[in-house]
Amino acid sequence: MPVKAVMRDDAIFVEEDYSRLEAMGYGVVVDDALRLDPVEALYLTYIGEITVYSNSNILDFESLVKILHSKDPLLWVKFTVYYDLRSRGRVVRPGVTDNSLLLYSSKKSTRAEIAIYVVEEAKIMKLRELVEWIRSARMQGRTTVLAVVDKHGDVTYYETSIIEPLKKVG
Amino acid sequence: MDQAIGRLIGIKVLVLDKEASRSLYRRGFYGKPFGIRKPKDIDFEAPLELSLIEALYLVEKGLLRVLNNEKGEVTDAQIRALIKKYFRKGNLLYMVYKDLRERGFIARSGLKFGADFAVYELGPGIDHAPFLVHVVDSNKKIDPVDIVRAGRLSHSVRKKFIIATVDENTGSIKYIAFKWFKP
Repeated sequence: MPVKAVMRDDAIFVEEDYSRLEAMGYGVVVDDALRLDPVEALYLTYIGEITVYSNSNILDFESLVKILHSKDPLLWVKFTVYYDLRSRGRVVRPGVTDNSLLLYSSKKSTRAEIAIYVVEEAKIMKLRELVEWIRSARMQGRTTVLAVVDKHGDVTYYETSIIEPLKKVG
Repeated sequence: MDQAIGRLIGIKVLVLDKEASRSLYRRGFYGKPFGIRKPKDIDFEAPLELSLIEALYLVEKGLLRVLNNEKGEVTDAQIRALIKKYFRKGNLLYMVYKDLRERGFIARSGLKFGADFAVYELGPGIDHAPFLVHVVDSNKKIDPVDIVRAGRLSHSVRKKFIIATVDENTGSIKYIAFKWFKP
């Protein structure tokens, strides 16, 4: 049975029976409710774990995509990567910046060791921004990964780092 | 070491004296011994063919003088202008080439690997495989799939490939290493 969730002021909350979802790495508890990120709400709706209500109407997956995408143009690409990682059994959370996600290297991890920068084909980017993002995520002690989503929805991952090429001596 | 004499032929600089040619090549695998297929062979009897980028670097180092047909001197500024004229992102390529050389690496053309430079620690034919370096303007917008394309070609050579991002105004070069990641 899907758990009931409600959309309030553009955010989605699970107000009851959320401990199982919380334990599985979804959402953040705020004022005795589990607040879900749009990507998480979309995923949980997709796999049938929650049913989202707005007032007393049910928002199905399609309505939810429409509403959430209108507020965040990166939503679908992030969802693509989020889904890919969850379907591989990984625990993943929304990231610190708009276009990033956080990945736990194992189910036992208490901290996300890997930060993922999500980009999409045809959405031009500046490498300067990638360099800055790598720097700041590395400063927080995280491994940095670039996820490129192509026009077909396929995801390619690269571990990235800023290096100072030095020749080995001898 | 004596200055080698190179002759500007189109967008190449030829060192015709075989002694000077071998000497430059041995010094850091500069250029391409004409008609010699094995890059490891340093005892060749052939002229040396230098790219404009290599020639500019060697002129700046004082190791080479470049002459044109009329035996007039071709200055480093003139070579620089030719590089800019003939090669897209020519100036950026030179900046990265120079930086890698100054760090002690052997940088050579990476075209056959689909990259701007193939970079060796010891030399072609000696290292197991070169690092492949792609040069990108740090202020220019790129399509993210260009990174995937660069990776596709490079992965056949090494697990890592490198994008050198260059800020032409400040001269700052950052090297980003990319390694295949399986989540």
